Amino acid sequence: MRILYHELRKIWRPATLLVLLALGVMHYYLLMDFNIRLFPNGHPAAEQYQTAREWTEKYGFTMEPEEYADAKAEYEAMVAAVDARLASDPRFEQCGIASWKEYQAFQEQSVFQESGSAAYEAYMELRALLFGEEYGFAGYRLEERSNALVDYEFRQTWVTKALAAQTPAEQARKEELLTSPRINGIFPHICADNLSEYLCWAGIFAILSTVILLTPCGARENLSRMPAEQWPTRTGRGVCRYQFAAMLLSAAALFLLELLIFGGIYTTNGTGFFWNSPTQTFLLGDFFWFDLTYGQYVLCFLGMVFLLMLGTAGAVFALSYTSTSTISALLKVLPLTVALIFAAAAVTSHPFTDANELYRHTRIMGVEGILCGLIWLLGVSAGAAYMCSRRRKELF
Amino acid sequence: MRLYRFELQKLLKLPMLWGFLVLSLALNGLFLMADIYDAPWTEYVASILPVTGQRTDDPAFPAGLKTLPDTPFRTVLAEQTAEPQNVLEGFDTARLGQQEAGLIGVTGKWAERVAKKYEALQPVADEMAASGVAYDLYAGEGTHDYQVHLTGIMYHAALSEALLLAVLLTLYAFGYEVQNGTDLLVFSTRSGRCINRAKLAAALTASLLCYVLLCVCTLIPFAVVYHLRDFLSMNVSSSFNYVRVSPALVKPFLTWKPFTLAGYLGATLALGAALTVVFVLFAAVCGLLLRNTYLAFLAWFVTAVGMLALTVFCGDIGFWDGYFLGMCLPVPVWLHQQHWFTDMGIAGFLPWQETLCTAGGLAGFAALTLLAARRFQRKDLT
Repeated sequence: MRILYHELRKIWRPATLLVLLALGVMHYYLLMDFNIRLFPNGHPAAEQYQTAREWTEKYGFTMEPEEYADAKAEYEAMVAAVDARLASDPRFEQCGIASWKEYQAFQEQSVFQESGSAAYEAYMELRALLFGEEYGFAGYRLEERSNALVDYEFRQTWVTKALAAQTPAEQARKEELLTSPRINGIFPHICADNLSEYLCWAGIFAILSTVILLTPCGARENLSRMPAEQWPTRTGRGVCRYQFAAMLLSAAALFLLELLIFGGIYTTNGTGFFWNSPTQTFLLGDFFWFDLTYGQYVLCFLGMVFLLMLGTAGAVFALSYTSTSTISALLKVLPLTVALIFAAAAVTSHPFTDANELYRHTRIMGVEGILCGLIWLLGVSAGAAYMCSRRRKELF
Repeated sequence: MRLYRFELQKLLKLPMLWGFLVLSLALNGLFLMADIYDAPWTEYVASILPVTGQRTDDPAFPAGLKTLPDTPFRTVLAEQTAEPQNVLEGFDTARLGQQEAGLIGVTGKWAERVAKKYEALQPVADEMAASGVAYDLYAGEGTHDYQVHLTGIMYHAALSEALLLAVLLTLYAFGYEVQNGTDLLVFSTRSGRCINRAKLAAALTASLLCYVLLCVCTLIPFAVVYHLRDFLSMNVSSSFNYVRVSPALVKPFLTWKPFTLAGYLGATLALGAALTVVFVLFAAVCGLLLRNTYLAFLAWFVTAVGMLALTVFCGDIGFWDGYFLGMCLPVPVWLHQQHWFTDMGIAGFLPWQETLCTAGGLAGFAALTLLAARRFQRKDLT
């Protein structure tokens, strides 16, 4: 344990940690802040999110037919409230609009008018009112609620038409969805999209930080001729095991640290509310290949990032300990980092859905998890193989 | 000279240098395939040029096109060139300037400076419109994608790899003695600390060699696959070439002087070489100030990312002095390489900004290197 502790101390140097902190702050500011600060990113995304949230609070994780009837009644009540307000507003009265229905008819007529014409300008003015702050973004609320209700009505048609099943597995999933209550799931797909973007950048930083933390370790040992000092000791070449374990442990600790920081920040956007909601929804989004709740989906994401970090640590161990200078180690590790960053971006972009690029090319359900598992296996095996070869190596 | 030779040997004999170059070229090979589906189109356009000529306003163009066999590509090209367009004719650069400035909400003296830049662009646009260079066919409707693939992906990849190698080689040169424990021995010889000059010269030579190698080995396969030679005489400000600033704003690819593709590539390659020298000097400053090579690399990396973050931050808080001056730093210049020699949009406030900033970067980092070297000369190394 004492040796492990000292190996860990060699890795966790204050200067490197400061650099990681600075890079983390800049990485967050440049690439991840958007998904927190501006979530759910304006209108009508905010209304989509709000509708799903209200329905989940009221009906639970799925919407049954009788609940749909209630939601429709509620929508009609909302329309009636807006109608009453429109009827008493002289600005709308001027254009002969006294209800939401009349506004929609007016919109249909005016939207294709030439930009700059009086009719178009009048329409734009009214739209700005109804879809603006003064009316509490009523236009967006009504439109999104109406769209969501239509999505529910046509959910089976949507699955039949939109899911172009090309493989037997896709066909089976499609049939399963058509008969399963999962098709009634209430979940705003914007949550999954936002999580995917956020964790894509977090995954890239996770790999970068693992590389920055671990790359100099082996080269530094070789440069200071530590093997010659360590190998004749009682522990002898067994010290390699501690070095390897220290690298893997460091990657795991870094994962926990980043999980605490980036995960902690992510919880502030309130999407944790949907933790137990099914990701498959009738509210048009990606098709999920597995029946996962949002919470399980988040855990799958984190598991993949963890595997990537361990794989990176294993590979960096092998590359760093075979280097005789830190620049040599960097030159070896940089191409690996680029490849792993591409892999991280590929696996964290809408994983386990039909929108994942890796899936589109391979048509293997769960290919994202398989790739992460392979990277972990290859990385850790490379590290383990190098550890074994080091135990048989001549000192000079 | 002998020291320089030995230092250069040290760098070139670094086995991973060659490994890195091979892997970089392999990656560029993948990027080469990025636009492979458009290769038949560019091949077709290149093949008709000897018959039609390159100007779509020339009556010989439609006449020549008619003599060619009737293929789907000919039909498409005939549609695209049926009404030859000169997008630069009557192009109002001041309006473009207002639109660009409006995107980030720049105000005050910087808004005036940006407006002045676009004022200076107006005569250039008028002159180019009068000369009719915008009638050049280039690659027809595929021009934008071709230009992005050539300069925004292929050359950008080669330049980025070369800059990274330049930094690593420089840090390797400056950290070699410390890493191998020969520093005290070397610095107590007759040449002593003057060896740093040889190290810097060797790093510059090796970095430029790598730059040339990467550019040549990246652009030659591109030229072969995408018929680059046939388009070299086309003007890059062809009406078919454009820059998409935002989903709602598209502007012509307007350079500060008329450039054929050959001229544009030549100028880009030359400026890339100058930027490589800037990065060598940048790394030399880190290498001279910090004896720990890895820390020097991290310092360089944090500073490089910081240049970007600081610029974005200044833009976010509306501190336009910081934003526009930050855009002159080497990392933003590298980042906007795809739009070099154009107005650079909101990334610039001066005509020829990238050239001036690179020249300024050379002078600034040369001065910083001298100061760092002076500090190193006076430092107690024991």
